[in-house]
Amino acid sequence: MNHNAQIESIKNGNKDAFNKLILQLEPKVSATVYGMLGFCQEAEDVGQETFVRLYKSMSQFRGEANIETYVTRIAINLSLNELKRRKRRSFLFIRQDKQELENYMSGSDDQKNQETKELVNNAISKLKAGFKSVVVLRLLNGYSVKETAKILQIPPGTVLSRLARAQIKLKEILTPQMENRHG
Amino acid sequence: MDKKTLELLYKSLDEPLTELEKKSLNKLKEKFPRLIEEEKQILAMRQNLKSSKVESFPPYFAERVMKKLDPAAGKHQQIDFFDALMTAFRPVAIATSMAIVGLLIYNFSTGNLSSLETILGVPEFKIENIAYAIQ
Repeated sequence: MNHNAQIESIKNGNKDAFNKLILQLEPKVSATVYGMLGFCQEAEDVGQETFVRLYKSMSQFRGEANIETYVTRIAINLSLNELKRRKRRSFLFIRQDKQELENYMSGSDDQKNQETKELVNNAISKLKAGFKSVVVLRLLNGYSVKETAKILQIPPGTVLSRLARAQIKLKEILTPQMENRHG
Repeated sequence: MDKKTLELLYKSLDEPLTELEKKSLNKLKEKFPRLIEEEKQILAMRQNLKSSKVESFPPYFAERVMKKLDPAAGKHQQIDFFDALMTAFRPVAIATSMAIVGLLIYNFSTGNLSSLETILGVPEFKIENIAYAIQ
């Protein structure tokens, strides 16, 4: 999707155009932050902050990069910061991810779908931040290896090796759980 | 199956392989049928990952962002409680640690004995004292 006209309009102070842009970019940003942070209130806060940063940096946005890639990079960086902050204060928290997940599921999700989301969410949360980010970008958001490398500012070879290692780990966690559920 | 074989299999799912790599992977699949099973499992897992992504925030998300962008609303922005707490207590924690270390060094350098009692400046604890106090 070409957002150039919309971006120009936002730069000229059109807030309605930015509101529309939020709605268009929301799927990418929510998949990124929920993938990185799990289903929690902080994820939505990071999502909001992502768009606030995007709006503030709009005047510097020259359009060389795709706006989706640009906003995803902001979301990933803020999520990584949140993970660091969470690590510092983890001793103070007992997370209620399951409840949060139920709160965030749409009414159309059936129970089986919810369970799959929960299992996947738990499995991803067990990965280290560097592995989590490649999984979220490549496997959840569908960015190519090249785009993932560009967003994370790492070589494509590193993306491939992290992907392989992350998938081995995810397979170890998920396969028995999925088999139990279907069996 | 060795590590290299697995790496080639994973690579084939994310990047176009060279002709040589394709031939090599096909030969390996013929040789190790478990590799085909492995590929099926990975593809199923990737499908589960893809279908589990959440593509929206709770309702009225855009409105909440727009409200945040309103300069008048900016004055009421919440300060992260734990970050504020940590920032406020950091100087106290550092000063207290330094004072404790200072006292320990002072006691150690001025005391005649290098016992725990001398260094810490507290009376030696004996279990008999408790028993005596209870009686």
